Amino acid sequence: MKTIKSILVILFVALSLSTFAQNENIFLDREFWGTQPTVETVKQKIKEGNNPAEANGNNFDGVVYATLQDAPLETITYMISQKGNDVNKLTHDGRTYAFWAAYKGNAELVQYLLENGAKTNITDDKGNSIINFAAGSGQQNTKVYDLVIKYGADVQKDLNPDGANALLIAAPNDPDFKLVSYFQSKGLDINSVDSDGNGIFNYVTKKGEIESLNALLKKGIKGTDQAFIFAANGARGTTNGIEVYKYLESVGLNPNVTNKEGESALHILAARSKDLDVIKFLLDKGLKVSTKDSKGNNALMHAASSNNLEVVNLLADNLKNHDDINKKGQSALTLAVGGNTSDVVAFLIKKGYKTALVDTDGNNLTYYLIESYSPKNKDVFSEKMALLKANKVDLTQVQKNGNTWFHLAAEKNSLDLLKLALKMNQDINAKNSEGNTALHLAALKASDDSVLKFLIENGAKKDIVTDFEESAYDLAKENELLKKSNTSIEFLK
Amino acid sequence: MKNIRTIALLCVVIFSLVSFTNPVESTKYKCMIQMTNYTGEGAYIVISLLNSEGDYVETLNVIGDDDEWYNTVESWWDFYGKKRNDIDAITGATVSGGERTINVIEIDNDKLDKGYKLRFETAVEDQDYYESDVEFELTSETIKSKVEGKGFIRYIRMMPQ
Repeated sequence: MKTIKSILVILFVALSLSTFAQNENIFLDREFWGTQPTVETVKQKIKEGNNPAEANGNNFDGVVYATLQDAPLETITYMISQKGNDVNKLTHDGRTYAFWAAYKGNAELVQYLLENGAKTNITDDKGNSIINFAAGSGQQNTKVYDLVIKYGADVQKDLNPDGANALLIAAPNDPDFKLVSYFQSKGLDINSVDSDGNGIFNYVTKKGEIESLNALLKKGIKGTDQAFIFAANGARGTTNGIEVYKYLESVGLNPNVTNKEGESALHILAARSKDLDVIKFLLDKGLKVSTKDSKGNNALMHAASSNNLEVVNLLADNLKNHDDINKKGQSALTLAVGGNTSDVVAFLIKKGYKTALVDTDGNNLTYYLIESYSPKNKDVFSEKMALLKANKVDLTQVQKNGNTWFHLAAEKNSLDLLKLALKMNQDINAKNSEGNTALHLAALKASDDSVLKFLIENGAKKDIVTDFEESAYDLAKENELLKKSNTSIEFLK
Repeated sequence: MKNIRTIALLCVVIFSLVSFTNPVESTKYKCMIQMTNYTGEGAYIVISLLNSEGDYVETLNVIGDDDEWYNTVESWWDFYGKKRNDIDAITGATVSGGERTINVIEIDNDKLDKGYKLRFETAVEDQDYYESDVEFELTSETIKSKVEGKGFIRYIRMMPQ
């Protein structure tokens, strides 16, 4: 008996250790790199089964974390030399290692990468070159810029998608204008503007450093009304307080201005600021909640998508017409159902927003409700569903493109939603306008057999074919996720 | 005689009217794009018409409507981003792993069998970009075929509508 017990214990420990090794690649743990591991340590960890080339869900890999945590140079270069890694490997946001090395101001690593063939003519997913990415963080070690320029970068030509050069991009995070002077020495003009005519004053406004703004004014460099847009957008980790807006007004700028998307500071803040003072300030200056941006959204719609009830309430109080819809046919209520919590949904219904609205694609509020489902917010989902039901939304209505609850649930790969679908009195074998049944959609997207089996157990027919003559079996056969998980699909035959 | 003349005149008028309103005939094609079951964000897909030299001639369809990400479709962006003409065919949402999307694209008949190409360019946030995920020469045969993709696209199918 005792031996059996100890065997069980050993088995248990071995099992948990092996799952530990599988799930927790030590190279994806930032803290590991903070311990300054030597090459020997890394070799040992590779032997233990940690994959030096694996990336996590956000596409950060061990090399990136080692770089961000300032691990020893030889450790990082050893990691880069491992199979699956490469000086031009793309990581988070489409950045190669040179981006992260430059961002950290690690000139030795930048040099190593460039000597080993790292490209300098690439941009990341946001359209930033290596220099613009590093400059945007305010990296003060200009050696990294020197190196990238030496290996072919051209700061005159490398503009981000807004048409801004490194000088403008660096300015908000460069309180002493050291980087600005550096880029001037590389030939960039202090009076540079981006493709919308924004110069350094507007860029510095992102961070709201009034001293820096005054320093620019002293040099005779002024801003434009667009500075209000920059103030509203802020910068990573910075939201500007009322004093910044009042300052901009005091130097003769006018907040009644929109960017090329037709958004004013009010639209931008409605979507994400909780600062009622700033919003009230803009309303006092004559900005209207009813003004629409180029997508047809007014400020309340921006708030209804994701902001809290307090902001939604303030904006709704300053809006007379509650019938407004955007170009997609969505009202503030549509957006709240799709992205916000039940208190905001309840508030808007009470304000008189129509629950019978259908968007330009023919989707009603039920569609947005289902889209908003996530296993993490089941309660919010149930609350919103109860609200819609209580306010005369027919949850059982099929969407205009023929999608039923079954279709939408299958697309989201959710058993929870499928169980709800059973209560909606809809045809489990209905085809949508693209000729697909819920079983077809499940076969396309499933990563295991649970959703497929659930549909079949509840009456989904296997022999219906798509408009391209494919059965669910045909579709599942091509599904790489099912192949990868070795899921048998013979039951679909 | 007078009758014949009138008829002849009428013919000329009708002929010129027809040829005026219909300088080049075009055909609509149903185009189904089937994605692989990759994991991650939805893909931006741009369908372009290229000439035999490989230069962009026309943007036939853009799938994904948030223009903030258009620059990730790099080669097309070099062509389109500078001019930013309005595109007629922008289809709502991006397409995720395993999904398919069916769109209608319109191609001038005189572009067939002349060396023009159809390019499907794909980009996914945080992941790769494929300049020619699918690319093939436009012929009266390929325009109704199934073509395998090299990146996020598993295959595309075309058929005249």
